[in-house]
Amino acid sequence: MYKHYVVHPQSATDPALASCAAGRQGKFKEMDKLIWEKGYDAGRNLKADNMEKLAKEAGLDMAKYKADIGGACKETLKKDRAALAKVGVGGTPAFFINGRYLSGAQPIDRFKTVIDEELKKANEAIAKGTTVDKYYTEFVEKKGKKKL
Amino acid sequence: MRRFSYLFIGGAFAASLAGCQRPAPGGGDNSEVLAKLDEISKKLNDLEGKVEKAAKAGARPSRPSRPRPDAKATYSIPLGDSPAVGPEHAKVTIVEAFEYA
Repeated sequence: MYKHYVVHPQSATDPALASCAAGRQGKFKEMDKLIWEKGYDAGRNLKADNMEKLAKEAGLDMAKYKADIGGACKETLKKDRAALAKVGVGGTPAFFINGRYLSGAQPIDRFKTVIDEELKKANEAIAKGTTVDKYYTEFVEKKGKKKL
Repeated sequence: MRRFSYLFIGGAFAASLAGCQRPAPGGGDNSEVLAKLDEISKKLNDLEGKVEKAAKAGARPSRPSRPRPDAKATYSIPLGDSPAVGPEHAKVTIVEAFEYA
């Protein structure tokens, strides 16, 4: 799951809004790929006009796209940032594996260790009667620390 | 004739001595310049003292580091309707905070 945490607003706001708007039309994955390949990797071209071009290429409803980047997605970016800052996120990338924090682009073994620990906990809870669809809500969202 | 020669030589010598004691160019004497140099030297000494004092006071303290989340703790990260890949419900959910930069 992806949450926006804009650290460099001058360059990263427009692509964040664009990918958010694409997500609201069920095309986050496609837009995300286009932004990295034809935006970031193409000379860091992350400006609004290129994002609009990529949105068309992704086949988005452009009227809805423009409405969302000007409205709902601005709120989403603010909300995401506030929620992550509250638990101490200061930079990107940052990961929460069932709520367990892992900072930066770590070696795969670090991820594997935490994933295995959390998988074990989840299996134990499910063996005691919790269902998969309720596990995250009950054990991470409700029982997790709300702030740093 | 010899007495006149001695008188002439003595007089010329006295005149040359008087010429060595003529005043510095510009009309003033060197004591003014020396007084200015003393003043500058005193200011330099004062400045050196201040620099030494500041060096002894030590380096500026560094800013305290920003607190980071505890890697052993579980934090409540509401999923909401953020975009995701994979099944809707999973035993392990990874949330990534990211930006295009």
